[in-house]
Amino acid sequence: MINSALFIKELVENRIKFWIALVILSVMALAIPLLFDFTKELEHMDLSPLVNPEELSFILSNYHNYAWSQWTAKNLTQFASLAAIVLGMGALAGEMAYGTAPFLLSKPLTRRQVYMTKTGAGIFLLGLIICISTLVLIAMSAMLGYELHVGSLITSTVVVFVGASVIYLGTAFFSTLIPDPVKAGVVAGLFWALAAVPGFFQATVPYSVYYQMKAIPYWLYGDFPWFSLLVLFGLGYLFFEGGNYYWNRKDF
Amino acid sequence: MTNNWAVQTRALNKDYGRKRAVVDLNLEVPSGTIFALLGLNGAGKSTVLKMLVGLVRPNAGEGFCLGMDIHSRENEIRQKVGYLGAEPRIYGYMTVLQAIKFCRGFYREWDDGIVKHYLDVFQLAGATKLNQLSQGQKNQLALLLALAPKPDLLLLDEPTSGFDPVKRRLFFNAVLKEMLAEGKTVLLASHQLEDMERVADRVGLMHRGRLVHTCPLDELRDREKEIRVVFQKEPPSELFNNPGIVELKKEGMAYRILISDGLEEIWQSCAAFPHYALDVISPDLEDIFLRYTGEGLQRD
Repeated sequence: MINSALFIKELVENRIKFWIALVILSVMALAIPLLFDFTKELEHMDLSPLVNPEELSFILSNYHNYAWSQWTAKNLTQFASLAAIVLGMGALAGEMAYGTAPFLLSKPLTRRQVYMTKTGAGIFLLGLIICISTLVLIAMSAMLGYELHVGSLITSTVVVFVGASVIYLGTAFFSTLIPDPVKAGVVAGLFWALAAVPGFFQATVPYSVYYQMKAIPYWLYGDFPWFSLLVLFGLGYLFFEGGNYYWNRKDF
Repeated sequence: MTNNWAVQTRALNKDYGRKRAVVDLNLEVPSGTIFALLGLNGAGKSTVLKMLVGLVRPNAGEGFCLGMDIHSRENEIRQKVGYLGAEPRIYGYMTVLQAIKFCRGFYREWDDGIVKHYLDVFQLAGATKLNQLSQGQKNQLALLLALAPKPDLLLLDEPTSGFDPVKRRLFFNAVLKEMLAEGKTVLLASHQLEDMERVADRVGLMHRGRLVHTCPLDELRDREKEIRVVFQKEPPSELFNNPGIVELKKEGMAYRILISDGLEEIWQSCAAFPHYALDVISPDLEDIFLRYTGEGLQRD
């Protein structure tokens, strides 16, 4: 179903976004082990009410907790979400805005193939960004002699990747509806900002995509996040089929 | 649906909101011919081609390209049908060779000989970025890319737009003739009458989304005649009662009589009446188009 010629074209077109995102996230990954000693000093400072002292104490009790809180729960989740929006906003809208859609769609590809290949390439790039930057974190942590539970960090990272893919597919959905990459990006950004609101309240926190992405129960109790993955896959599938439906109905 | 028709549509319709772009189109394009779809801008010509290749979804009706249903076999159709849209936009960051390589990846059949031939013919340098090409050169490249998969049917929308006169002549004298020599079919949409008169076997006249007339160009020319006569005095009105006269225009003693049938009889009636001048002329395509639609086409 994936067309290799189109897949390669998508990788080439998104290369600048890819490199920028990778460099920024890798710098963030490098900063985490480098700043551990400095951050530990915060434990002795009174940061209330900004920071819950118990929470801070728990996070700084060992390097793994610290790395997870800074990487999986914070930098990676936030930046991968942003990268997903930036990569997804032009996925379909770009072809419409630049008038290249008729040329592409006159080639022997089904609309579904085009949609699948384009979103597949975006998710592949997103995966590379997340994978390489996480490897940077693991490598730097090892170099500085910090103990990191690599297996559980990678598992958490996979959940973040699935969540970021959902955000990408949601953005691609808006990119199908709105034939302008910037407008599609703005609308998607607003949508995904609103999607964060349930996470602000204790009663609604499980309905937040970002909460599911972080897979907090897995970190705290070691429960594999089946439910989170199921929710994210379901949401991603709905966005994919929804976007594909509208893409298939469009006239060019 | 028979294999005699490269394109066949039945009651094909397309609406854009309230605007009716194509209305009950019954089009038949015989295999191995050059068929020109003529009409003003907005007549629906481009929409017809786009529906055939799957870029636009019809609201109702049936369509077949090379015997394949446009609703269910669009991917197979695109393997065998080359489409050149009006002023095509191709990825500007690619070079000519990158665009060729990109397109090659979609087709089961691809003739590098055709690519090389037309790169030479159109004098396109492989390393040139597409955003540095003129619109005419982009059209030439898009045409090359449509020809390389060796399509059985070519759908060309204003194919020579932006071509200089030499390239335009080359296109009509060489490219189309090569297609015909190989038994392929070409469906052209255009408002450039002079070019179409030169190459088309058949024409279809479109006006406001409707196909108002279609027939072989020669037959149209043979059947549609005009008598221009300058009488010495006012002729009797019975002279113009012949049912073969479809239109009569009078300026003083000069008459223009448009005829669809009974030329000989009408000519003799006119000749029998005293006159200064009497000629039979074949109207050009523009005159014919004007008669069927009530509006003139622009000439480039």
